Amino acid sequence: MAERPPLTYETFAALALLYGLDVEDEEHLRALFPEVQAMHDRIAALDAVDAGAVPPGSGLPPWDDSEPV
Amino acid sequence: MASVELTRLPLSALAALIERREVSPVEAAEAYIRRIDAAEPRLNAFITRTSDHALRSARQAEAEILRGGYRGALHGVPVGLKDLFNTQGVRTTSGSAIDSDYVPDEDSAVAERLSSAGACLVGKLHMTEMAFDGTSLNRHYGPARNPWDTERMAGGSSSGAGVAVASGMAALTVGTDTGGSVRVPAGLCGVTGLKPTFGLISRYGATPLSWSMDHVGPLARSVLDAALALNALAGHDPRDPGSLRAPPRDYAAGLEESGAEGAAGVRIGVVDSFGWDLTEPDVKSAFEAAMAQLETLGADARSAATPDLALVNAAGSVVQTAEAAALHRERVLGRGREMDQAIRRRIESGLFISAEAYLHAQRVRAMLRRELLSTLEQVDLLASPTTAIAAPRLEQQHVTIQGRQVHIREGLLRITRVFSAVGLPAISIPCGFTEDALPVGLQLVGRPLSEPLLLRVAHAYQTSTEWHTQHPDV
Repeated sequence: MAERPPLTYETFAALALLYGLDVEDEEHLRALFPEVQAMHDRIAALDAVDAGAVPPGSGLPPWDDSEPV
Repeated sequence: MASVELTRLPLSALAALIERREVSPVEAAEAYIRRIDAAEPRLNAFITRTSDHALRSARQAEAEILRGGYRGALHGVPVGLKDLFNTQGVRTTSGSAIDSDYVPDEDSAVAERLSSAGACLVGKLHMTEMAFDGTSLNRHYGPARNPWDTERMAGGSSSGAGVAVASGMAALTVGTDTGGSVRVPAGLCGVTGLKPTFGLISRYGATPLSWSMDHVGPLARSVLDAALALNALAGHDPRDPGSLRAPPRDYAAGLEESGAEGAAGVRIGVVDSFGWDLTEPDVKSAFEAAMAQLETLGADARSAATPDLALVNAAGSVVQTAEAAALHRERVLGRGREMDQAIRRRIESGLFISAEAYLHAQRVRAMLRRELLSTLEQVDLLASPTTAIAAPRLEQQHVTIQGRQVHIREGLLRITRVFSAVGLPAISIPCGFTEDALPVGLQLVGRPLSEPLLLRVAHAYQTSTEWHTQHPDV
């Protein structure tokens, strides 16, 4: 799988503008950045997992366990 | 019966007294209201008290019972609801200042069911803002305090639900659990907390955090009490798209008869992959003693091979945060400054999750669930501590375990979040105390819709131990 590049502050700030955050609030953006980086790291860790055993569009949560498994 | 004794009774015992007309619902409601008057200033378990409402319901229950119209175990019993369940005419804040004046015009499904069962609502319970935190801190309403040590956290997000049951301010409470929010406060406050199979209890009218991970569950003083609550709360509801069409069951049936025998022959797999090295030694000792006790009762305890639980946690975190951002985008972008800033940032981080990353996390989650279900073909239940740490101090950010610094959110949620992510039923029951006299929880997990087995084994444990009968001196 293609490696996900590290998230730079510049990329983060550009995305923040795109997603409607108040980019004038620099203090808030600075505090938010580590949180978004941590999420980015989690996503990157999941990239390494081959989920091919779950066919696209099937078996996704929420599951219906109405019948006991 | 003395007022304080009434508020310490398990729901099942109080219900028996009410059914036999030895205690009236009004007497019970008044005892609980007095108890709340005395303890609430030290604990802060409630956001809104509803004493008048409780007394009205109690008078109605009393009249019905005197006419021979006893409805069942919850009739005339004082209960509390996490403050994200809509209650008609009673404000519902979701722990947020933004919703401090929100008064719903209809009941949530849980409020409806409790009302139909004849329960008496004593108040809306403390929670962390938008249910997105495992502590019991709330910038707007102050911290909920642990009744075993009021300088410590009660766990969250259903903080008040744990505090109220532990301290005798409600005989039963109902919370929600997206990453551990029923089990964590149950564990830290020393009560029983049940997160049923995903969809078993309707979420209609409850403020959502993550539609594919939100569960509803009761907190109570015993497994039997939790089973009685589940009888009243479970059932299909077409208004909740995740609601199961599972057939009705009597979850309390046979529990008392099976007693300590209920664990005999049950294969229990010990979950090892959550990180014993990042678990407090006192928690580990209490857990090991609990497993030894279950073996004494005839359970077959063994090690269980589970998938990489860190991956399940990562997938769950991505999904939960993306769904929270989708649900609450307008709130964080429009009124974010009025929120707890840590929770605002947590939700906003979900805006940066792409559709591709969300869907991949869902597929990983589904795959790991298959692996866990495969493990649950080799054993009947899984077991772990509920949390890796006991209740932290209110101001605490990190805890040091065996020389390593662990953030308290990780210590509180690392083990429970896994089983929310895969939708399996899980229960936390008290299994001991640390050297600092703080409760420790034992978590048991089963296959989908295996609540009868889960409850039977947990009840067997409680039949042979007294941890769940201890009361904090507050």
